[in-house]
Amino acid sequence: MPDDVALNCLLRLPVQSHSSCRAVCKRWHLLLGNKEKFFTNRRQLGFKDPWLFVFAYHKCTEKIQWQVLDLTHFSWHSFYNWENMAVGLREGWTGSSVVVYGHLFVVSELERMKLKVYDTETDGPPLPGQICKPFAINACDCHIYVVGRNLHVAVGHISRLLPDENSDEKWSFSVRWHVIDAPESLSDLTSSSS
Amino acid sequence: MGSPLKKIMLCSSEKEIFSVEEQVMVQHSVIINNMIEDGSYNYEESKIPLDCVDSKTLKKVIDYCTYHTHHHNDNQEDLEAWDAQFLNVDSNGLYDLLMAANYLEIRNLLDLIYRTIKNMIKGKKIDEIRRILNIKDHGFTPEEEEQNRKEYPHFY
Repeated sequence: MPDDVALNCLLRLPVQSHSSCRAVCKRWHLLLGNKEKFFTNRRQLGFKDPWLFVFAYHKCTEKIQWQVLDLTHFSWHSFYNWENMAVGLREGWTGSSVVVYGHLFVVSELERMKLKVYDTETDGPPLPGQICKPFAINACDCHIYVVGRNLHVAVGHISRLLPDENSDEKWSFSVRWHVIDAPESLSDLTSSSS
Repeated sequence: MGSPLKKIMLCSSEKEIFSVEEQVMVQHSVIINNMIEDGSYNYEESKIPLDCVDSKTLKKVIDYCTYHTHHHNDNQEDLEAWDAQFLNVDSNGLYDLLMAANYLEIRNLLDLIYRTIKNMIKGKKIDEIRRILNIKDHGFTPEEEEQNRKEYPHFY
């Protein structure tokens, strides 16, 4: 069976079959690659199965990992790579997250924390000080919206800083924050979930 | 889109000629559609050579395209039942159809076969999948195979 034909059949299988199909023959082993490749390939072929990606932080081992919930079969799968976090960046990874420019931004539940960009070495820019106990975050194009206590809202315009052509530096990001202070009448309000 | 009564000639690997309504093949096969559109097919003289498709398979492919051209308004259930009956062939027959659909770029037939193969291997043990797909040489070294069997005994 030619590889493109085999891949078309294999990518239709539920992700549970991934590990066993990799052991069927060497060609499939190479075709299927790891689970990240499996998901990337599926996306390229335009499969639109619903997946819930959860970016999880293990409190004891201080490692982060993607967990995926297959919403068709309701089964959890983990990606293999447990990332070791650089020392000093371990705090603040619990909170809400959103994807902008293909990068995951995490708004920490802790206060006075920097906006986190999922990259094992660097953090993003700081959050505005007015935003305490952020409880909701969303993104639209290159804007990120964070809602905190007293319903203060911060709108961040995220721009990518291009790395030098000749350097091996990765993307870096800058954020221009605009804070919409809540009127006094709302100052006693907070999220019903907190 | 060709006129409904125009016929085109397809030539199988055994050099058998099949005359088919142009519209039937143009609607289903990307390759034939391109040939007709770019004018490289001559209605008086041309026969489209399909050297990698044997007569038995080509006849099935034409049946599929003809049925789906004339029954595309049927309800989904009836079409699915027809498709299931159509693909009730042995694994060699399925493989030949797959290669023909792949060569002629008949997307809905390809998709149907992909789904059928997926269902054949879904939830199966590795030894069963190898048997179903007639995989004789898995390509792993004996050490790798042993390691896999040790690591995932429940897959075999």
